[in-house]
Amino acid sequence: MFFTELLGLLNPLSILIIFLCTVVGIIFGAIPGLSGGLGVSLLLPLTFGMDDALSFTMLIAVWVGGISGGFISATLIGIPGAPASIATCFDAYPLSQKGETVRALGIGILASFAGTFLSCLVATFLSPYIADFAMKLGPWEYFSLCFCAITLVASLSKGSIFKGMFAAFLGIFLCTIGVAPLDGAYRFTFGNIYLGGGLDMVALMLGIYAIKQVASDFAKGQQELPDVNTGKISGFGVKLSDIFDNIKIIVQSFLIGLWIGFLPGMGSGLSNMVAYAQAKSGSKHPETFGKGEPGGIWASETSNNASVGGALIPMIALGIPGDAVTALLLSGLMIHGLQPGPLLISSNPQLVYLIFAAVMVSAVFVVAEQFFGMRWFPLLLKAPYHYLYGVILVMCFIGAYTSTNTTFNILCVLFFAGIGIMLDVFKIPTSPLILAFILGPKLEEYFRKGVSYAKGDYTQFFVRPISALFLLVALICLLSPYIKPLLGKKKAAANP
Amino acid sequence: MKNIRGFAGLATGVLVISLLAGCANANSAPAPAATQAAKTETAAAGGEAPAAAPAGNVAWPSSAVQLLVPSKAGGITDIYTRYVQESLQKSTGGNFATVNYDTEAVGYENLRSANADGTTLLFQHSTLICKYLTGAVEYDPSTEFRVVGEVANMGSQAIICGPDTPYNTWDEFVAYAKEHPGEVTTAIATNGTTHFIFGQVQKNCGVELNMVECSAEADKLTNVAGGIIDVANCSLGSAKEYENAGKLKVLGVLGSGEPEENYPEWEPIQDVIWVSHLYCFAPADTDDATAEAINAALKTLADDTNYEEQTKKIGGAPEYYDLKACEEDFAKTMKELSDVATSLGINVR
Amino acid sequence: MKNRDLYGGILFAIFGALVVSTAMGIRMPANLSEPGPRLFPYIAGGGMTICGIGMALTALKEKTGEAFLDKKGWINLGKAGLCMFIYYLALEYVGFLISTPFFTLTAILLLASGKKVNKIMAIVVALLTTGILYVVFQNVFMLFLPAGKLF
Repeated sequence: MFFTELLGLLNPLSILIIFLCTVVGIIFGAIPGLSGGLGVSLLLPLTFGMDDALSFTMLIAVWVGGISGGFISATLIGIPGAPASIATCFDAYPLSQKGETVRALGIGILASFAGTFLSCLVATFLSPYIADFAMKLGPWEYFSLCFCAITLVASLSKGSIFKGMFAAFLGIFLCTIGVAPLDGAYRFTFGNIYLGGGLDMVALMLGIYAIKQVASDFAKGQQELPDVNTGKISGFGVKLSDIFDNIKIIVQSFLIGLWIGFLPGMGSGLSNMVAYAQAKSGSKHPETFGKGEPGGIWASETSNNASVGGALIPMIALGIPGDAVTALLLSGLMIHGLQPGPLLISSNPQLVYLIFAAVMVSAVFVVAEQFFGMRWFPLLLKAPYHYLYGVILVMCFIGAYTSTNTTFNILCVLFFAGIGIMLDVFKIPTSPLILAFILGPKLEEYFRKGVSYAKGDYTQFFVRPISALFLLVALICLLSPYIKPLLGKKKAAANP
Repeated sequence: MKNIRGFAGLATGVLVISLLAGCANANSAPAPAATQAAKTETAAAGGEAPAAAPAGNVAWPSSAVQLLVPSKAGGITDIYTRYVQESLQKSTGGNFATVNYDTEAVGYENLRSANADGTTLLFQHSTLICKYLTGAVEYDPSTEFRVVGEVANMGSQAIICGPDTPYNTWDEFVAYAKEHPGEVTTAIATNGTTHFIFGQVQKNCGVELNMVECSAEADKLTNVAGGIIDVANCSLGSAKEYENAGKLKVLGVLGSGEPEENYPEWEPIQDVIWVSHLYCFAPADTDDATAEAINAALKTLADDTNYEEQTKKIGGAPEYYDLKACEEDFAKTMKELSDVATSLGINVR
Repeated sequence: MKNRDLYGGILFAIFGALVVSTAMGIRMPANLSEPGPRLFPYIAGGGMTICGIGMALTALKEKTGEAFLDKKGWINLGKAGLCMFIYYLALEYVGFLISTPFFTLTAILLLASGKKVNKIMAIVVALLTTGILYVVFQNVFMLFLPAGKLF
């Protein structure tokens, strides 16, 4: 059935649609402030009267293109195209500044493809088996998982634990602004209705990574674009040894992305940060991260794309969204008169397998398009700095506006740019702030729900086996930097 | 020479901008809901053939119209509104656009401050009333907005429970809840419609439930199937899927008290009646003529077979009430919900 | 500035304390079986205070590194910030079509920082940017751009 649908996609109309929509998706993903998700939400109403197969092929092609496009601007101009590519910036841009733009792009392209294609393969054949696991998870398990992820701020704070942790707590504070989960109390809004909705992630990303970057480069008189050598590029500009050297990071990040995409409500925006932090924490040379370490790019891009397949699993097998984009796809299913749920695979197998096939075919198209494009993308850097960034600045402002349809969001961007400057002044890392900002609302929601559902009993976090396991893992991760040296000393003493 | 060049450049700029601005006015929908400042632009925004005006009244739409949705794109209210948009575009030939606001209050504010000339409408169901009564939003729909139509009955809901609960029907559930006060966990959205629904269940059935926060349908389905929450509401379609897969049981259908056409096997609940309408709101000082014109245009929805088919696919049905009936029905609903809120102790107004 | 981290740490600690004290005014629902909406603000504020103190104490032991920006840098930063803030105000009150060409032009000239810029080219880029974005967003995507409160 799957292969029938796969072959069915190889007709001229579908090929044309996938080609066009993936290109549109890549453009949306690459432009800071826009994203593949926005592309899907714009396209959705247009598909109302269309044929089911065509509609979903289009929506999925835009989604896959969008997820895969974010690293382009992250690499070329140091501004993430979407929250899913924030961690990509940390190393792709410095690597590009060292003159290795093509290699950075090549890693991004291959990592994106691997993440999407392989995660979709997993989703296609294992959905029904994995999906039921989601029903064993309650707020306690989700809290413990998020707690596991938040302990990674410690590894992102290496160098100065107080500064890193301050950034994390600042991130938690910023995410509490707005309406509290569960009870709806207003927090730190001071009567402003715009703050009532909380601070927007896109505004945070544009403020700290786009506006602040441009403003501070201008202030320092450092308006320069990297010198790109687009001369002889063989293949993807990536050697096989690059892949083998980082295979552990790739596999680890793939699993992280798959898992986070699978968890309802969490997607590539979170997985790229967690995978990056985990790669850095597990590395023998963590100090190289943030300075052009290829492993950082592999981690971020593999995981954010792996979240695509991960998010499909609950969408197809349970009818519940793995992330914001699958929520839109579910609406699409309903609009076409299809009922999402556990029986979708058996009642509409053609459409289900079409969706999986469309993801994989889109991934192949994207890698091909980017392969040909990678010789052209760096040409963007030949434009004079002042023209390029002048236009980019405007697009950031507009991206912020369209994210919430309010000019207030533009003010938020400026506010976050100010925070970014403040963090730079005191040499405080931004990544713990981002991770905490994304995880904070979930941590609070699941913790309070866990206690509420258990009628005030806090022990459930430790009594439920899966929750207890994750908390144990978190504890081990937190303590291992201190225990490892001690174990090392003991070994040395035992073997003189 | 430099100065002349500069001046020429500036003049060119002004010329191009005015051309663009002119194009903009002629081509597309206008800018977002503007303030009380008078709008000088006129029709021709793709607005050929406006709806035939009711006797002696205004033609609507006379220019492009924005349909505001105070929730995310892809959500149920958004879907209904886009169906309305599609239908109105066909029947009036006017230019309509849907605008989403993730933050509910911002959507309401944009309606409140919009010009009362029929160019801005908002679609929302009774959640607005519930949230106003409980203080979650500060916009009183009876004074800050004007109801000009009811465009859909958003359908009934299923009441679901886990596969291993000791009750299989609504009556058994009520009996069990009576014997175990405060023990049966039910999913509600604090200050939202489900809070009111289960509050009424408590009142009408004489039971005490342990109401916990769980508002997303996805969470309700997995938590109930996983035995973490005992009882919740959800859409009929999802309930059927999960029931057929053996993952949960359906206790009954919450709606008008009548059996569901597509789900005759499920018992209609009589203890609580809850019918959800999608209201169309205009700014408070919209004059009667404009309100009548809008209402008349909305009447075409009920005759549109495509709209009917679309709404049925998502579990609802088209509706039409004339302006007076709308206003009366809305006021009645507001009073009823206010009483429920007071009895629950959550009415802050 | 000497002992930048020391002053910063103290500032952060004070900010954390402010957060905690503001959080005490958050409305708590009655009959709660769970910690309520004040917990996480307390954690955030308390955490920032502790980290601020830690940062300040650490700073006493260490030397301050080089400054982030010199005086000229701060003035430039101020210029950039002011420019962007004015653009925000212009978008809010005057709208996208009128304010964007001016902002784009200003940004191009500022970012060029003394380098020779062909003014005609800059104006063309500014107008093209405005025009293309406007057409694509409003007509193709049907995503509205700021119209300006005064119009």
